[in-house]
Amino acid sequence: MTMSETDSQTGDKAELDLSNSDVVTKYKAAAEIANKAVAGVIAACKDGAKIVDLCVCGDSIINLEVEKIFKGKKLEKGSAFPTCVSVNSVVGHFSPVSEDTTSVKNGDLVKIDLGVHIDGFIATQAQTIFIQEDAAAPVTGRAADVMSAARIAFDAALRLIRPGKKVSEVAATLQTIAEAHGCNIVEGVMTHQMKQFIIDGNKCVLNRPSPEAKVEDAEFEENEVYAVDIVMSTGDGKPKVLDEKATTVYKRALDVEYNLKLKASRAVFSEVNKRYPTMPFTLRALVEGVDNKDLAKQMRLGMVECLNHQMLQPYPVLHEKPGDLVSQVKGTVLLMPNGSDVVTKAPSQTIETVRKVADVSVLELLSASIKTNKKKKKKAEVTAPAHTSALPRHNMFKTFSVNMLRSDLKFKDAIKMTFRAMRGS
Amino acid sequence: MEISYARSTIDGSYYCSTSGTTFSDKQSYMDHMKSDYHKYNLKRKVAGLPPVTKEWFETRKAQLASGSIAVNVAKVWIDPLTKKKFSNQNTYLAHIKSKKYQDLVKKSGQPPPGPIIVNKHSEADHSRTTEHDMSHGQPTRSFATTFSSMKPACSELQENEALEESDDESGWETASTSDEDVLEATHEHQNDEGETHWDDWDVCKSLFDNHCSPSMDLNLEYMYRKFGFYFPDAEYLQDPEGLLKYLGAKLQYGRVPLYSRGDDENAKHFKSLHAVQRHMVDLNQCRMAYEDNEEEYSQFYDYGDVLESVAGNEHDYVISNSVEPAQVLGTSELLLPGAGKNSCIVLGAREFARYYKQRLRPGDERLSVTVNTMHSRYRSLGITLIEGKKTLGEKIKCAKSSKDLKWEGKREVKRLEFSNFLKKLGKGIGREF
Repeated sequence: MTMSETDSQTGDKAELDLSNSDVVTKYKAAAEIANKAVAGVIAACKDGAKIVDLCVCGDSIINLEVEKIFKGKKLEKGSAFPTCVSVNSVVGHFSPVSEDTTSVKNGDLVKIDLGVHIDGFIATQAQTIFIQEDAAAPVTGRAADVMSAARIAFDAALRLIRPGKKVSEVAATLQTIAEAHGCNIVEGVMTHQMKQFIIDGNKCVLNRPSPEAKVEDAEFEENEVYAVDIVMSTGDGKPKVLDEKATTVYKRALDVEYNLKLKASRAVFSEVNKRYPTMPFTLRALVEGVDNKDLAKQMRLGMVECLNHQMLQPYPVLHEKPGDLVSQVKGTVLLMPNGSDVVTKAPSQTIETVRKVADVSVLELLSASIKTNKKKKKKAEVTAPAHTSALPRHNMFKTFSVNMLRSDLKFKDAIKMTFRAMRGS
Repeated sequence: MEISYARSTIDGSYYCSTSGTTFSDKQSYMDHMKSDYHKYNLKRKVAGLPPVTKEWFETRKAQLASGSIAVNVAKVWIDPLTKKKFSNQNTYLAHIKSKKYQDLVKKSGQPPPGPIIVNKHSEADHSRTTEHDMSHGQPTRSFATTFSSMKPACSELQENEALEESDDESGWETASTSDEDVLEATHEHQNDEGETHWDDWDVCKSLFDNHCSPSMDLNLEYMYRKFGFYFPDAEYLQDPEGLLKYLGAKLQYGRVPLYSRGDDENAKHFKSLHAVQRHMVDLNQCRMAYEDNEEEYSQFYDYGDVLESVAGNEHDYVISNSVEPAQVLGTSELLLPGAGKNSCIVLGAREFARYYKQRLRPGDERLSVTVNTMHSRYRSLGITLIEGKKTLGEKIKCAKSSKDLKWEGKREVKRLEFSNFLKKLGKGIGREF
């Protein structure tokens, strides 16, 4: 993928996609930190832990690790998505303010969601954890079902989001998997293409297409990065916003231009602009970073005007029906020339579930590797001589043209094959 | 010297408007400006007379110098007894034969003295040629008409002569009985054509209140301090003494205030020097009429340098190759070659003043911000999937075919097309989008 928007404006720019090894390094480094952070939060997830503490833990790990790497260079780096800890029927984006006292307990299905970026290259991750006394014991019951569904769907999605495939093909398979587990894909959740500094790119996959929400059909291409996000729910999969005041995660909407009137709102906005101009942030983090105590108090007031004029895009806290369990798996996938590379990893719990996916095609898909190419080439070379043996000369050109048309062969290979065919070996 | 602005005609020559002559090169023009011929013409212009040709002037000059023409060779008959001057023999004889004179002769007991015939001074010598008005009961003529004594044609001279004669006689008739007055009348009586024969104004005497200073410079200083009187264009003033005397004469004999022009017919005339002085002081108008009136004092000034520079500047009507011409840019700005080698001065057009006054806030330079802004803008316009295409042409094609494109999106596409077109034109043409 190219920096095409800027291309038309500023002329030629170096290709800042995965073909550049520096870029890959940065992605991998960001993923490393994300992995560490998730691991840290998972470790802290115990009965009685406050959600605020968990979020703070996650964010602090990110900030610390980010400081350590790429020290010399002047890069923008840090948190790409604030640590959100959503429990049970809360779908996501729950990152409370420091005064909040909610805590987790045993039997809670906790979703940890965070993101890290280095020089704009984002690695984002989400994992679901079931809190129980014995950390090593396998998860059972509905929680296990929904967790398994999410994991399997994630794997399937990895194999579906490949260069050459289309966006519309993905949803069907995911639906099958969800049904097999007796769950539903949560609506509105999208798998986004990511670019430098852009967390929600233009190409996106709607996991569950509906009449209202439609997405333009596109093709996956090489050297693209996707944030594959799967959210499964035991309920309907139609989340609602219960409490608007609970929203704490926001992102600056850059296309809106408005002169704020209140001094407090201007202060808030300037703070946002300074620290989180493009990435989502949480109010808690914004307030914490501010030195001036008075300003901290006025934050809420300032936010009101910003929100009224759509200068900040909110990430609302969505809820399913109470009693429903929601499980999320998210990971960053790099579509490299030699296959898909899932850079984000996390320690996963063992799941024991009764349900299984029955669909043959899906199973076949799941068995396939996400790495490619080398096998295909060998196959091609093997088949070619079988077709043509001891060709007369006038057929040489025909063979040559046929070989040239084959896109999986390189030019020199095409010539080689033609000669081999001629010789009849 | 007159600032007759040199108008260069198409062939680059010089033209003197006073005499109506053209000169092909600068040097001859400059010489003309300094010559007596030009000065004479200036005086004629001030007097309201038409100018003369160079030939006429030369001839006249020669005549005066040689004294060949009988008419010009004016003899003055002076009667030693009464010390009266007569321009004509007849008048002299008439005087001699008169009864009064005879009585005088008898009284003195001397034999009647013979006339003293003296040659009149030539015109060319005198720079000041203004005639002095008749005093005491004479209808005052305009100061300008006194210049009429400088009429070149013989007939005009004779005409003047007749005028003088009649004046003479009336003067003679109305001469007061006292000897003193007679003497005074004699002294002040100017019969001579064009001869300037009045008492020079004392340069140490103030023009406005007859205060005497030790020297001319102190006098000027005094006048400046007390009345605010100064000589304009003092750098070019060649003959301050002469100018002061001229002004004094203007007051004393012309009795017109200094702020009026020499050739002004409607200037106020006063009955005496004291009157005109008091008038000027009372009105606080103690100044010379200089604006648009340089000709009057042109003989005292020397504008040689100025004229040269003026002439020199106007010579640049013909653009020389060494000077870089100014350019007008597409943005309605004027590009002038500056002082330095590679510098230039840019002047803007007034109608764009509001744009020059704009002080736009500097935008956020961070890459993350710019990228995201662009991205969100594209999205809001409904153009989302075109970034995959490599060339701008492909982008436009894809955008056009997209059904989701709203009105703003279409406009954006048009803009893309236009910017692409401008790119093809090359660098520096058209505006930055």
